[in-house]
Amino acid sequence: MEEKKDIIFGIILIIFSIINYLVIIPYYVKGKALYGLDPNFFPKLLTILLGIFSLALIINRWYYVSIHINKKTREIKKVNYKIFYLIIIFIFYIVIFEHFGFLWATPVTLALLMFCFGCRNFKSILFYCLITTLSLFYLFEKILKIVLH
Amino acid sequence: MIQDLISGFYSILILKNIFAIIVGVNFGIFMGAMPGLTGTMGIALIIPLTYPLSPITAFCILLGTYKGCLFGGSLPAILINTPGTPAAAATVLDGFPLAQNGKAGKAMGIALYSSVLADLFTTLCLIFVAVKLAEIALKFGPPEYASIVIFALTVIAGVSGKSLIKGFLVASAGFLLGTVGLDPILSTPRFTFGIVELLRGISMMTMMIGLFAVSEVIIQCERKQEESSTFIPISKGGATWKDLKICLPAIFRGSLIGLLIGAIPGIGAAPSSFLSYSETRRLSKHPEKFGKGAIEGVAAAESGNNAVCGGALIPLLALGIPGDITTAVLLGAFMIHGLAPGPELFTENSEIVYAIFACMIMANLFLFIFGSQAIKIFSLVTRLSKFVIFPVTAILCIIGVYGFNGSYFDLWVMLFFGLIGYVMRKNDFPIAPFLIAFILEPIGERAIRQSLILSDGSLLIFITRPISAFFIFLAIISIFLVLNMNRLGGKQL
Repeated sequence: MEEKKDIIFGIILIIFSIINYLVIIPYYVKGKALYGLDPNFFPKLLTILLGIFSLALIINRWYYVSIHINKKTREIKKVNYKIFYLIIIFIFYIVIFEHFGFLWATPVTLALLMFCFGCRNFKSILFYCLITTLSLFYLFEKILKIVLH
Repeated sequence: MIQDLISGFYSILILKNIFAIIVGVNFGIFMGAMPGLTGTMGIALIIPLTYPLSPITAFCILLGTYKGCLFGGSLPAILINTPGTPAAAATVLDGFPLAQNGKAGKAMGIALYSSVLADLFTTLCLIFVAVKLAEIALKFGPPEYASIVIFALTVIAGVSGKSLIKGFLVASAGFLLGTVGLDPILSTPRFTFGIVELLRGISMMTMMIGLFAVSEVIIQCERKQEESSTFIPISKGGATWKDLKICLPAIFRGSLIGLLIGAIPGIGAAPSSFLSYSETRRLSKHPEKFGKGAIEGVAAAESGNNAVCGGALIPLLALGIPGDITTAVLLGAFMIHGLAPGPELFTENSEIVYAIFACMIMANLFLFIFGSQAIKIFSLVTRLSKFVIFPVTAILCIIGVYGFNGSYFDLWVMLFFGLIGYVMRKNDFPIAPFLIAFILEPIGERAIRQSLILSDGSLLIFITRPISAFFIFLAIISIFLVLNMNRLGGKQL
């Protein structure tokens, strides 16, 4: 199963390398040097290397799969929705932090994160949210003079 | 010289200077331990407070901060898989596995001993051979930088984990990401897609926090655990004399590497700690233990990054050239206090120079004392449950990244790298080669391109200059050794 995943990653990275070499680099890496190497030399070289190593990964894993895995196995994996919730909370925090500032965004997000991590004790959620928000605000804004909004 | 050093101690050993060192060391440990806050930022924040102080007292607080910060970065690296500073990135590799095995106290103890010993070693080198070493370091031109980077790249094979192909693959991706931003020679934009924030490239701090800390938060959230359980076992016992004895060769090696890398302007502590880690792994009788919780790994990484402190001060004090960003900020502090680092400093203000040397030794002593206390305090983290640690870590990461540049764009970049880190870790793609390649790309590319401009495109420049040829030779030897080691160890491609 791991080997098949590696093959999929290899294919994705080869496609990325081709798009990067043929489309992205010609449009987004410009300039020509009078002496020495052009600005696009290293991006091109590294894209080629990325493609070569991706191909090597595919070949290596393909070879392994053809030898070691004979029968088809179907593994059904339960999707863990907690990760999606966590990412949504991160996005929520970044957006709210940008628009409403640290003091509004942090307690709400921290409470959501603690709930997502499995904490169901609302007193401790309230306690940690208040303590963390106020101490971080005091530290950054008052001591370190880093503006958090 | 000894007489000068003794008079340096006389100027330091007054209450206000000792208090300044204590404040500096503790502030530094705290800054280093906060993800996103670096030593450079700590020194920059504290410089305005030194305006009314005498130059000696000012440097007591500034150097204390510098040293404290280099050690402080290791604490979150070991406890929550989040390097406090970029220099502590290599400490994560073995520090966090040790913490997961219930040996957080041991790992932090070794990190402290290594930091103090390496720092002491380089401070003594700074005192006795500063001028000579600075002269050697100044002989390094673009070809020498390029060959050092090529040598450092052999580290990648050592930290590639189970598969070499995957190691090289992610290293290529890391290099490619290192090219984002302004071209180092012509300053033309590359892969910026019209986004102004990308002109300065991807911030190393942002990427590192995303790859290590955010991905760890996601992984911990995914795991099923009882509400009351802690995420790492409660740490019992610290580092013993026996542990230190095992680590002494690694500490000595790391100190030498850090001294050399620190003395060469523009490389910095992160490559030094990775290089030290890789060399220790390569010379170890049990390289297979590295990455799974080897205390020598922590010792090598920490001695490698702390030794840079003394090393970086060599060109600063002897020649007035800063070795890294932090010493560049320190150079500013010298100027603010009416001092001009360089050969004249040794002749015209020798009392201040030797007071600085004495202050560095004293700061080491206080780092040892207050570092031990910091370990005890931070060990309490292991007693907290994961539903407190990780939500607070997530918030700290976001605030730390925002505080670093004041950029909301960096928060999205951090989240992006958090997801990349999660996918990489779930699928056994090693993170270390990715990060090493990203760190080394700007230094390497600039050096190679400058060298080829100097030589009119001839690659012979890398082997006709003796220092450069020496490092190329070391790189070749090192590649053969690694390949042989992998063959004997039955490591898969």
